[in-house]
Amino acid sequence: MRTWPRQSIRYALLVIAAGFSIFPLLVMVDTAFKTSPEIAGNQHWVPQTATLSFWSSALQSSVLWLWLRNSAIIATGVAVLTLAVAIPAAYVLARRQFKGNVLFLDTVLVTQTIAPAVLIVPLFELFRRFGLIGTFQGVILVSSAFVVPFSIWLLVAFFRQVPAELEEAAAIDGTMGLRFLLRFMVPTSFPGIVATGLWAFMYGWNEFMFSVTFLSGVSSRWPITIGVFTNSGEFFVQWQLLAIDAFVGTIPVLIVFVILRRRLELALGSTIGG
Amino acid sequence: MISGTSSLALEDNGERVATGLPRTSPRGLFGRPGKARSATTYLYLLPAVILLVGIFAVPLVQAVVLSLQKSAGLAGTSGWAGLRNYEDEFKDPLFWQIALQTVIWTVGVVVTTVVVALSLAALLQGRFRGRTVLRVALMIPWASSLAVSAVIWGFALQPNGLVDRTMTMLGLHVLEVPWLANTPQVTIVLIAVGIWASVPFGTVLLSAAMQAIPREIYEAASLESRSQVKRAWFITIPMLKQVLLIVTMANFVTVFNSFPIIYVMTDGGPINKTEILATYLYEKAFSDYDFGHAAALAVIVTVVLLAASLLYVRLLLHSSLKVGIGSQMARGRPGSNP
Repeated sequence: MRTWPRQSIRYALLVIAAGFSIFPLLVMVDTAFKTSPEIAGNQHWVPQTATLSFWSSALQSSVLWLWLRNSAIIATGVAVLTLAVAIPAAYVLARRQFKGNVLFLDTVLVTQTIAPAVLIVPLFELFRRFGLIGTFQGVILVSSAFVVPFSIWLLVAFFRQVPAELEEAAAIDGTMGLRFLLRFMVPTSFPGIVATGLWAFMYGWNEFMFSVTFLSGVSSRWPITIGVFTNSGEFFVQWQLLAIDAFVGTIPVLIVFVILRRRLELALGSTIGG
Repeated sequence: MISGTSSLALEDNGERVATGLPRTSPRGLFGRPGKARSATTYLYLLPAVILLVGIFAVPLVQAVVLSLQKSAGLAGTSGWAGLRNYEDEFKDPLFWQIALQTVIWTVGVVVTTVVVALSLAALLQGRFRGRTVLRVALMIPWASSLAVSAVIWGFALQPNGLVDRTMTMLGLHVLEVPWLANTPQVTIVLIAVGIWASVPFGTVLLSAAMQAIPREIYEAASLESRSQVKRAWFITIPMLKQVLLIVTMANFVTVFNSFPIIYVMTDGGPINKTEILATYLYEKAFSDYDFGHAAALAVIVTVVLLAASLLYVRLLLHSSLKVGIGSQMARGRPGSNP
């Protein structure tokens, strides 16, 4: 009886919150179809005269594809390096009891309280000495270091779900250690590993501070985040192009996120609930 | 290639799993006592240790060293300064102004985020039409690049931009103001974008936790009181205490450390009014090339956060996994901190 008004209040509040959440996306799409005089003047949500012309020029511009390519390189690099480092660590942490097991997991978490801005000054010096400024490798290294702790935690949870009998059986066959990890552990926990890798990919794709600091001098290596940010600071900004760049640059992570969402929510739910 | 691994100490949730293989260590704590075996175990950890030490530990030590040196602009440093850099900062009224702004920003974002996330989690309970679509829409800031979103927010907040137009549509003409030009509205706007970025993580955690509350508790309580508000206050909130604490702490660390939103939208302006310690030390280093003072600020920030993380670690002893996941997910909103 009282459910109808209650339901509509629920919907109203959720729709307002959802509108706030997708506001930047709406702005991107809306702006992409507008003419320049309209952006310079009083802006309206509904374009007075919609135009498609900026889409064709944006999608034909080589610079957008260069930025996307660079983002893809960085994000893939972060995912690969993170998995390469986190999988073996998570394996022994999940499966073997040894001195420092718990201490390691705890210490790894403490790194999460360190501000990236705190590290950037000394890291800049350090990377300059090793010739890593202006390279993808530099950004990939730092970003991975920031994702590895959480990835280890996630993977430990996934690896613990693999039945111990599998390892016993394999041990009888003589498959142990690294061979067991690669031949059995990785295939069995593949969904979890993919989720972790995608998470690292998203992190790499969206990373900003280290990229802007290490790569801003080398425009051929800018990822999409730096491209959009730098162009927004120009004296004359073509907002339609920028909106399209921003939108196109958001699509890949959104797709990854939709794939990942259920699994992440489940992983979070189980760690909280259990 | 790896020798002596024949008796893996398999333990799951503290429960010994029989391996059917000889075992010499009675409690299985260290596996089989044998040097070769534990050596290979540590070998698996080595890549992670190298990466984390290289990116976290070494720079932290270097920051301390750098903070004790005199800056010489682009030339780097010129000799020891002792604690002078720290003294300079503590005597600088601007430092205290920015410290206060950091507190306002952090508290503003974190408190509102927790309240909003809690409300949204409650609204998302149960089954109703459109739930999945709304959930996905609410999660979108989590997946977005903060830098790119901040560029777009900045554009929408320009005079006569789409935020002003939205205010017109809502009949709020008073709120068509130069958003980014003056305080206090610029601070409010930044906090709003910070909330925008932080809410999804809290919502996910809290709604998962709410779902885990056994239904029977509510059923029992509904016999005593029919008031929903009372039930929320006396049952839901206490049951969520742990998760609320995690969400708050994780957000506190991430928001305190945050960089992209402020750097992109205002760059600390107008006249340092929106600077927080993280952006301020970045400017000191990369605009003023004053690495000594920047490093001193970095050490100060780290010490403050370390104090906070002691609390963090205490929580961690009770629920180790949870806090860690929390902090990373909040920041790990890909693209790191807001």
